[in-house]
Amino acid sequence: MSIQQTFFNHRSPLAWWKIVSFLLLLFVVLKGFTSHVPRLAILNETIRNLYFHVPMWFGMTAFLLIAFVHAILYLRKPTALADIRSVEYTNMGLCFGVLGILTGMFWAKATWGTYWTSDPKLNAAAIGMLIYSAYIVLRGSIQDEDQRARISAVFNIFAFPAFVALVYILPRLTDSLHPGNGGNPGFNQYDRDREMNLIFYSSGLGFILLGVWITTLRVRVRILMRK
Amino acid sequence: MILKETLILLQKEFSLEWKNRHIFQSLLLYLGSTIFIMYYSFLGKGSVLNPFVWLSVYWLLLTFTTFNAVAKAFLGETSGRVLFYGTMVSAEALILSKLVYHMALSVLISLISWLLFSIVFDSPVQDLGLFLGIQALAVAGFAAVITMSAGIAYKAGGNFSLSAILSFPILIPLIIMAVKASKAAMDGLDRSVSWDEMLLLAALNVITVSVSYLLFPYLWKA
Repeated sequence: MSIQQTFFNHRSPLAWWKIVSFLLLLFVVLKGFTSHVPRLAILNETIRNLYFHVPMWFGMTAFLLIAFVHAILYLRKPTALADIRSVEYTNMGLCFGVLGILTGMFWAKATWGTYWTSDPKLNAAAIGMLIYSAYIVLRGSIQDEDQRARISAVFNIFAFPAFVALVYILPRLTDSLHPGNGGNPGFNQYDRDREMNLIFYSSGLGFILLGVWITTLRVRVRILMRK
Repeated sequence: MILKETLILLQKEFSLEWKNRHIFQSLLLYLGSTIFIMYYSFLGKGSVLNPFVWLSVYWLLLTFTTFNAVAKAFLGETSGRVLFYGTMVSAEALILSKLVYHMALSVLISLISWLLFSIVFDSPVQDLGLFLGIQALAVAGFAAVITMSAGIAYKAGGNFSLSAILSFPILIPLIIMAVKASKAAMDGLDRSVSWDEMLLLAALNVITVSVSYLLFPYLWKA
């Protein structure tokens, strides 16, 4: 096999961005648990959750944005591929959202002393998941394939501004219990050194690439099942 | 062209509402009985309600009343009439007329809700003008979201509960902002405190209406 077929074919398991994803996540897991972190009150060692919890929200937003773009593409030019991509990226976004909530809950138990609080970010994320669960319900309730694709694309585009307002604008209007908000010790530029930044951004990129990888596999399975 | 069609459709909505007065009357009956259920679930202690409880119960009432008023937006449309619309008017005019009509209707109903609710439960609101302004903005936003969700649910098979599933999660950001802003108005805080929320509410209304306007033609063709 030529280099072209191995590293630059997106379907190949050795495509360059899949290798990048693997190396980044390997780096994150190895360094994330062993590297030096600042000693902060309350947070202590749980600050390492920064490498695993926050990237989930980066990933969720990225995948829902990609799903939104594919919904627009579907309405401009209806193809089965755009519809499948839109729904599979939404699924991946929901999956990252669940992981984000779970990693956050265990962290909250260790630092805030409870799994669930009235923190605005936490609840906004949960409501955001409800919006996209409604999308899944809507898809389930329509039998005709073209109608399902078109109507759910309309809902996906309609829901995205509300999701952005909910997750990115509203929590900024109130104090959050999250580190770095409302006077809590946190991950702001003063206590995040260069090494932490490197691991943090590697993790963000690595998890997004991993999600894209999984989604492309699921899209290919869906297309094969249609035949 | 679109403006003219919208005006004609609006006229049609109003005359239909006048012809089917029982729908509006049943809405008032719903409002009245809900308020009485609330009154007796507080053991008849309406006049001494804690302001915070008062506010949350009031927003619950507004949310559900608006939903009941607006969720039927497309329910009356028979397949014959839909076919007629398809040949006579553009989808843009149709959604604009539905949006304007239901936003106006729900603002009117929210004013009636305010009247009935504050008769039964003594109102702790200090800055009434601001409070009603926030209420009008929020309820118009509710109506816009519910109208579009009702349209989506109508196209998905006319399932009434589907419009609740689709619209309630999207309503929550609006409700959060409205409750925060109206809490400040209730406590009589300076008007500049609620400015951010009001601006955001207005922005979300504009976004909802324009997104509905852009998307509805695709939905209606489906």
